[in-house]
Amino acid sequence: MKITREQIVENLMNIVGEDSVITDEQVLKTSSHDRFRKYEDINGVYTQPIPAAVVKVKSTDEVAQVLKFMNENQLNVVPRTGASATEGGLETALENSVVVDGSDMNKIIKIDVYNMLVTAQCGVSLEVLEDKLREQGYTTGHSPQSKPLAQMGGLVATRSIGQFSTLYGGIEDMLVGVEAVFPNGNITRIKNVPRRAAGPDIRHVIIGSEGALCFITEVTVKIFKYMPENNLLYGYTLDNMKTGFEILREVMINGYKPSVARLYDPEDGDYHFSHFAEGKCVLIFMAEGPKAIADATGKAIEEIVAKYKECKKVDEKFIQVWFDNLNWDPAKVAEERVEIVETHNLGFTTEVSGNWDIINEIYEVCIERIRNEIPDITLIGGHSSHSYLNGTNMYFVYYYNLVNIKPEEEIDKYHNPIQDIIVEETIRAGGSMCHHHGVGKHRTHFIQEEYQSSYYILETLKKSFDPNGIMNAGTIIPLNK
Amino acid sequence: MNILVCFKNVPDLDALSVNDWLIEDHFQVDTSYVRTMLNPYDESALELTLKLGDAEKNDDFKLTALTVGTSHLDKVLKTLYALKYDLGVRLDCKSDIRFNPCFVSRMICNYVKNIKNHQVIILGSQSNVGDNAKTPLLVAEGLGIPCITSVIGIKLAEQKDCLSITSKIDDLIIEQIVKAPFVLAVGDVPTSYIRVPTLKDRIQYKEKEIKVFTLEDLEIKENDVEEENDTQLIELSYEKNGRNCVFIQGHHSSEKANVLYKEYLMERIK
Ligand SMILES: Cc1cc2nc3c(=O)[nH]c(=O)nc-3n(C[C@H](O)[C@H](O)[C@H](O)COP(=O)(O)OP(=O)(O)OC[C@H]3O[C@@H](n4cnc5c(N)ncnc54)[C@H](O)[C@@H]3O)c2cc1C
Repeated sequence: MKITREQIVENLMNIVGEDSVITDEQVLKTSSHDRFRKYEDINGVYTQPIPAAVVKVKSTDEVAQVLKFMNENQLNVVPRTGASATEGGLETALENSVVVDGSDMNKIIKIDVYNMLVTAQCGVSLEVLEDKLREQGYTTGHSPQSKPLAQMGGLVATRSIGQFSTLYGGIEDMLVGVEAVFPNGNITRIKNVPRRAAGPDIRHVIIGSEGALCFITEVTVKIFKYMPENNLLYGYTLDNMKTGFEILREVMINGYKPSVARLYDPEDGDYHFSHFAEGKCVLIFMAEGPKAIADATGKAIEEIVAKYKECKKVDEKFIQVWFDNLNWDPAKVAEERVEIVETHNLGFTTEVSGNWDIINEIYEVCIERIRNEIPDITLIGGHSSHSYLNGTNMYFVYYYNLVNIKPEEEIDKYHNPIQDIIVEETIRAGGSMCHHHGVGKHRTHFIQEEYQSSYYILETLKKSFDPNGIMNAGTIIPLNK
Repeated sequence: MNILVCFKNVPDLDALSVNDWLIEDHFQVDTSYVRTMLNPYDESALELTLKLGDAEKNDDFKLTALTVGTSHLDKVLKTLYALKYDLGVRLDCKSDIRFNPCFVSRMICNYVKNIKNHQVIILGSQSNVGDNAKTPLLVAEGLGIPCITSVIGIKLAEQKDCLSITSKIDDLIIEQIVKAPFVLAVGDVPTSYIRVPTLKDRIQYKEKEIKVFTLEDLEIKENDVEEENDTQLIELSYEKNGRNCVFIQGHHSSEKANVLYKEYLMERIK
């Protein structure tokens, strides 16, 4: 016999205590989705099954017991930490789901400046951790725009990336060791060593698993010396994205590692840069690290850009002011809600990646198709913000006016069709459909095309570690309807 | 009905860091590095007027948006075209008029008197730059027509040439039917963001001409800028609004909420 909602709550209370099981109706409703459904949320419309409870776990042991209970009863678990997810990863797709919230597991366990490691529980906010490290002259090097919102567990679970990635890498380059709990209650720890060749790198089973394989309880990441006094910022205006991609490529293939390497098109840049770059693309670099390295990197960037006559240098102060205002804190999220209510204008982003030879084509085709095919568009633009030896990402930004629709129709009329164009064109060109937000629940219909023959590995991972399919059903791998 | 909405573009001062609040020679904060935006009160005025236009089906209802400044403002006027303002007007002026509401109001008055009359003139109450809060009153005085301040709502009225105006003074909400001509100073409107034009409309109105008038067109002399000014800026200084911050410690949310209640809220609630 299937367990009832009341029994689920009772059992959970027995494990974690009454105070840690939330059943407040409104909390449950808002815990049934994430920012992908922000318009529904603003309108108080909840289309996903409402979870049975939100459980605030306090220890790895509690996580293990909760997961074991859920697994034995074949109930869906949605892991959560900072709740800044943007792709539906927090949607409770099945009846009687339980949101397991690790945000109270918020201890910084150890800052080890000798081995350059920091270990933190999953619920430590990146901003808190980063501030603490900077006080001591260190940094994680991780700086996503959601730094004030996101927490360590979620950052690892989504394969997140930050604004300084071109130097420090994504979270996958930072994570040294990790502790996670699997659905059968198994607690696994991957130790902290500088490198290993003892078989496959199993950290990658956990990084990017989006709550669909395990619950991450503790992470250890690298730390670096924090030397902002050596930072050098550069900004340029230029006419074409194609030239911008060429410059990014030249910087990367010649072995330079600026921490920031970004290229904005005029539409995406309009809000931030129009007071000095009206109608232009904007290229931004930051060189950092030990002074000699920062200076050499900065000099090389200037030399490379100088070869492109279309680039005009702008005062670095413009870039500094923009940079200081880039992150999203809870106040900005609240302000966004008011703006949406008043203007009926809604914005989202979709991020993809591709090698150098296809990225400009992806950019151009997507912009063109969205402009022509989607109604009520008020802005479609994009930027590249993370570059590599082989290519770069493209972060599409789009806004539309909501015309004659109910809140629950927004996704089908606008968001999904736009996202589908971007994903379709990226896969067609040979790129990857997700650069750093994760798959969530709204790109899963493309997952087999994304993986092609390697889908076998992904599917087997899911079947092996989560045979009952209780971990964040419908995330990464689509629900079998 | 012919409506003129006057607006100003201002620097987004929230984007300035504390260190950027350096006051040069005590007269000038360098805001050239931050993006500009519609002055919030003016943004409300522009949107209130658009809403009025949504409700009015009469073809005689014409909306004009006017600003004072250089050609970098044409982009904003084009955005307003895309939102269906009928006419965009820029009174060309390169001088520093932040603390000179007398001059600004004279330009507006001369435009209305010499170039195109309007029955209703709507302005935001004040801006974050200069903060004079005088311009609407001076425009009304210059044109010899009444001014209603702290306006929070504008609706169509049945009577000819009239509008229904809601204003809020302290806790008092006043609604009155007013016959044009008059000036409105828009205050703290609860909803204040202006709508966003579609890309299609922006492209369609990109080439539409902005009407530009020089000081000469307005029959104003260049050196009137300073002569007109009845105030002198003595000093600018940064007001330090220091706040104390306490981090409430606790193992979980309920523990923290308990501390918050006992130590900070309980006393106040009583
Ligand atoms: C304004 C804004 C800006 C953003 N900027 C960036 C950016 O610059 N770079 C970037 O990479 N992302 C960005 N994001 C996306 C988001 O912040 C990241 O995906 C972040 O890593 C999510 O962390 P979180 O703690 O909020 O996770 P949540 O939102 O709580 O969860 C995200 C996903 O991870 C899973 N998960 C959460 N915790 C755990 C856990 N302990 N164990 C297992 N699975 C878990 C969830 O089930 C969900 O699928 C942005 C989001 C917003 C709203």
